[in-house]
Amino acid sequence: MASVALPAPRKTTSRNYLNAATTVKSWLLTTDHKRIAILYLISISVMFVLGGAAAGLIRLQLLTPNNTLLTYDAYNKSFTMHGVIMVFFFLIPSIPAVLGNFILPMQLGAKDLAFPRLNLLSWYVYMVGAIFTLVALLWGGVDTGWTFYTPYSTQYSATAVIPVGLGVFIVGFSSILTGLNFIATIHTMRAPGLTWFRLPLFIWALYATSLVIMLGTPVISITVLMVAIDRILHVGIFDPALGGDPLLFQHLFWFYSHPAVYIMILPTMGVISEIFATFSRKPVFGYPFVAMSSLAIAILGFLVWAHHMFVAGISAQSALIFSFLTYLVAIPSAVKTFNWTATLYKGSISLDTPMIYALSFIGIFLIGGFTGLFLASLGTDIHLTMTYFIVAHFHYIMVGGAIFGFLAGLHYWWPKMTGKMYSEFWGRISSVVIFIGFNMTFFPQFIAGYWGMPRRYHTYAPEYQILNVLSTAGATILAVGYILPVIYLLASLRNGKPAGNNPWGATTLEWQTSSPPPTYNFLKTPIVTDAVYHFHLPAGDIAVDGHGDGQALGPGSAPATPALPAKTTDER
Amino acid sequence: MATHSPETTHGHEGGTAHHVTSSRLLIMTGGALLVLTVLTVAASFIDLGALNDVVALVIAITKALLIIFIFMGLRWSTQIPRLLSLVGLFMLLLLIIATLSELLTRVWVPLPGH
Amino acid sequence: MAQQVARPTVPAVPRAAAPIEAEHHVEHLGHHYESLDQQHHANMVGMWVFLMTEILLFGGLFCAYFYYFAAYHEVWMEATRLQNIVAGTINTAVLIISSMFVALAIWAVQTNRIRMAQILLALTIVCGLIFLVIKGYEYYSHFTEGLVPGAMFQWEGPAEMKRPAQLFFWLYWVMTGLHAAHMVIGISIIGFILYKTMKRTYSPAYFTPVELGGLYWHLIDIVWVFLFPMLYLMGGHYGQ
Repeated sequence: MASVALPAPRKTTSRNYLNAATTVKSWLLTTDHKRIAILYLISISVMFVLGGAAAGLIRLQLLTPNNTLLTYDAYNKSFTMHGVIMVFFFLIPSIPAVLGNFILPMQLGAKDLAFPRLNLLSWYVYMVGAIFTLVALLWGGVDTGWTFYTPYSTQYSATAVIPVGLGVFIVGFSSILTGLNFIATIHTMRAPGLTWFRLPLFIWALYATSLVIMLGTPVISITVLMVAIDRILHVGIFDPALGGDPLLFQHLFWFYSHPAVYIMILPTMGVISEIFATFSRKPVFGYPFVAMSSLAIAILGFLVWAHHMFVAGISAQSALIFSFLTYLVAIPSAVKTFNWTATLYKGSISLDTPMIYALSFIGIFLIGGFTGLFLASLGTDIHLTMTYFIVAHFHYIMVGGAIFGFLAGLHYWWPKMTGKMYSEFWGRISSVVIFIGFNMTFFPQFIAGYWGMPRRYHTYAPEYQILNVLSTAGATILAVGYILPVIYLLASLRNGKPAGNNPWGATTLEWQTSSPPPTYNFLKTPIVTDAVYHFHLPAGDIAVDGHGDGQALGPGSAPATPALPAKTTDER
Repeated sequence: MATHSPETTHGHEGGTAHHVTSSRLLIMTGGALLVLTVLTVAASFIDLGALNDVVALVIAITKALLIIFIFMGLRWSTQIPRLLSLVGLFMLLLLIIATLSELLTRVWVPLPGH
Repeated sequence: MAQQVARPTVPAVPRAAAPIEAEHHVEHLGHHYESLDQQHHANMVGMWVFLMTEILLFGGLFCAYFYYFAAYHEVWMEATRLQNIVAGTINTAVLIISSMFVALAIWAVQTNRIRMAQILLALTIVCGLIFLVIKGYEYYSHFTEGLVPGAMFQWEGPAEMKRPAQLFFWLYWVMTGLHAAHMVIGISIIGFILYKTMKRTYSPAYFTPVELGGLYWHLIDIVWVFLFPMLYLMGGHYGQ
């Protein structure tokens, strides 16, 4: 026994958030943002598997033109389940609730989010929403598509619209709680000296995301609630036959659901900024422009929603205005892309797994973004709406954008979250497999859509078969690519080498504490004395752990930020 | 907090002082709100044509502003609540105005024979 | 054995945890905040962000209201005339007075009049309950008059107006229902604050929850300030 006890201190010198308490109760009642992030990671992974299974059914059905694997009814339910689960229960919470939850307080030098109990509540709310949706799945599923278009959803669909609607309504509050927490934390919990323009770009991205969440989500919540109520009352608030107007539903729905795309892509952009800086060992080129373009995307994202309704009979004037505004969104997106590319210029680039994902993201996002411009133009949109071109376009943004960003971030911060390095070899292999699988799945869909193959049908004309076979083959490769990280990441928990505090030589604050971090993140509140991404400094001088102790500073005794560097040197 | 976030130091000195709204001002505001309520009901009994709706909404906006600025203390608050309420208001107006402008400029081409 | 292994790690832990836990015995201060001031500030920002969200939650319904208001203006004028304007006016007054009480309660706590704060908070709750009772009475009479959207809807006006009028009452029930749900939550919050005030938790040095509860209550009031003209007054009541 004694022999066991002796080496123990060295092995476990860092008591961290993972081993602070190990009971199930300590996990279920935790208010530690890092543990809640882990809870979220497990939950959204389960949902991803379910959504992925539905996608698998769709791809199998479309392998041949008149496949009888699924009936039209089962097919409709599959793509609805795929959409609802992936959008509301995976993509929207993926980066904010997992990586944001874990990293945001640490990048700010805070001990936790501003409202830890609300944070835990948000996870429980998410679970309740997810259970509602899964119950509906068992109930027989929903066939309205994830868009719940009326009057089909309110009057005619004989499926479990109400439970799924309530599930979406409930899960909305979970994102609202996360967004609220982030905004309050970013405003009030920054470490001394961490001014707005010293914030890592991931924080800027999450701030913009949270704003979109807070302003958009309540509208979708009330809209699905209206659909649910009208299903009971049958008054027809959105039914033209009964005096209502389905276009009102579409306005309300897309007021949220278009910005929801930015809820998915903005955090990704933040992750990519971090990774580009770290793996090219350069500050992000044009930092203030990248930061501001996040806010610009958040704002412009709210001004374009009616481009989803160009063929729905909206007024010509509105269509013209919304088409024009849609083009404008390309500007801040382009600012980001140019600045990332410029960051690479003359950088010392290392092609580690997160960087491979980040570089793949740029290419895929370019294709996704440019095809978005095709759809923004009124004439082209009429030809392409409701075809596979749309499907390919938004998968290039949602999968190529959000999931690549999520995987990039997960690989980037995995050493910090677990204290273990994963197998770099398998990491690179799987990132390449996913890149190939993804493009093989979705690029043929652009062509199929351009040729006129409509979406949401369980059969198709034989001319499209070659493209669909390619797509299904790609989906298989993609599935393998998704399974690989699960294996080697989990294996790293057991066999992974210890990561050390800062395996990538990054500069942001989360790397200045141990891996995995202690329960309150930092032993002493860090004081920030320089801009973020200062790779020119020797590693030891990067940010300050332990020079200053924020605790000791009472209100009123705030040291002026510029004086800090001199002060800390004196203390030495 | 003063040590933490620079923006709050503009808000109140030393970070600890909170504004105390006097009870007199609060009661006067309450009185003004009641008077406005009587006014808006009275106005609805006079035939002003289309102006009836406008009057009702203008009085409602006035009342809301009184509540926000005095009861909720936005008059004495830091910049953040002001910014947030402006953003909220902007988004609300955006939602309503953009949707309505689409509805009101919509032209339906009648089908022959209908 | 587990205990034996854990023991040697203990010396490392106090160094980690001590500065955080030892210096944090300020009353009412959350463990993760640096100061009461920071906590207050975070709470206020959080509340205002939440209120922003609430505006847009009602905003969806407001948008629907004005959409059909623009589409069926005539019907809206007819339908508002079926409302009980006396009950609506009384409710508006009651809610405004309750809002004033809450604002005064904050003032009372700030100036250390705790007893008065208790009375003001209790009065707020009473006002809230009066509002709900009157609203319930209105709901009941709408119910008996057949002004419930759905199969039971009865409409005595022109037949072509029936469907749009039903939309009006659909919006009326959902909007006031959502507002009433907020009232119930608001009353619970004020009740909790009253309980804490009875226990002398709040003082001029610490009253953040009173302010937060007050902000929520005022927002409910603002929503009603708009619902009242929209659902009762639009189009005018002259000529009745």
